[in-house]
Amino acid sequence: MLKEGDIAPSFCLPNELDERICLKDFTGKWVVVYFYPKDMTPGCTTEACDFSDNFLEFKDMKTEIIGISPDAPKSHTKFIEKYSLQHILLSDPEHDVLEKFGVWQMKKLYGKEYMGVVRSTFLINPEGKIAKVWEKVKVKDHVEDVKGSLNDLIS
Amino acid sequence: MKVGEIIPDFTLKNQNNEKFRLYDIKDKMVLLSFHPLAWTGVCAKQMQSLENNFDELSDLGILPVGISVDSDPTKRAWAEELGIEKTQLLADFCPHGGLAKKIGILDEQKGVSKRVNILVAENKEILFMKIYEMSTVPNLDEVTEFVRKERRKGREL
Repeated sequence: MLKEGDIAPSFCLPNELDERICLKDFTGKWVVVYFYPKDMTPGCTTEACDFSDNFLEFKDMKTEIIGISPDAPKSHTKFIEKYSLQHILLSDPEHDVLEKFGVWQMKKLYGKEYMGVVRSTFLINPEGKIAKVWEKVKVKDHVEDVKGSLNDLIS
Repeated sequence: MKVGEIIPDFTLKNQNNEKFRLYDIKDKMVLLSFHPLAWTGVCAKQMQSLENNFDELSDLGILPVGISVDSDPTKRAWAEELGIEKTQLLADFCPHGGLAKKIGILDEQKGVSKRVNILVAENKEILFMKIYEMSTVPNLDEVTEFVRKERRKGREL
């Protein structure tokens, strides 16, 4: 997994409307990139709603929020409509970007092994470097935590 | 005027006889919700819809205001009648319909503005503009979904 100080790998992925959104579109801004396993599941819904609800506070800190999962754009559309989400959601079904960031890993559930997304968040600074990493994120209070770190870093 | 153009500054009185100046609002988008006339049915519903959705709009960073050619004392009585407390109702009264005329939405024969929702960005650019039939209450979901959709494309709103 990428760590603090690494250059964030460039990427372009489709949003829910199949429009390509690239990390470099936001050069000069802070960017929160959060990776999550699957739309509509309880943890991911809480995380997405928390980020969306705090959109204006991130905006005040000149920060863009990007959520990425392996779900297809159509799935993102349903997720967005159900919860009126207002931040960027991108689809990485081939897990290219997930792999670049090192969050596509072997996971274990009830003794069964499979490849999946380790819920992780990367804070990227305006120069494109990773300023902070949250690995194996617990959703509760996560967004508050990210906001706090961001606030410390920019002030 | 149309989407992409910058709304020039204006100052109008609200129902409490206070001045509302557009360019004093710096960190929010402003929804200018024009309607033809106070004390009429569809216009009342349009203003109540602003009031009922005031908090949701605020959460998105939008300040809604109602605007018509009626005077501020008329707006005051009407706001009391409708139970409107949060939403400012602005009087485009003197010169009569002056702002509506500048924007190009004054119906000069009837002497009232058309029914129009205009969403203005922080930099005062028109982001969204829609003219409605006289009999139609504007649907605010169109505005809120527009903002969310543009944000999901990474547009700074």
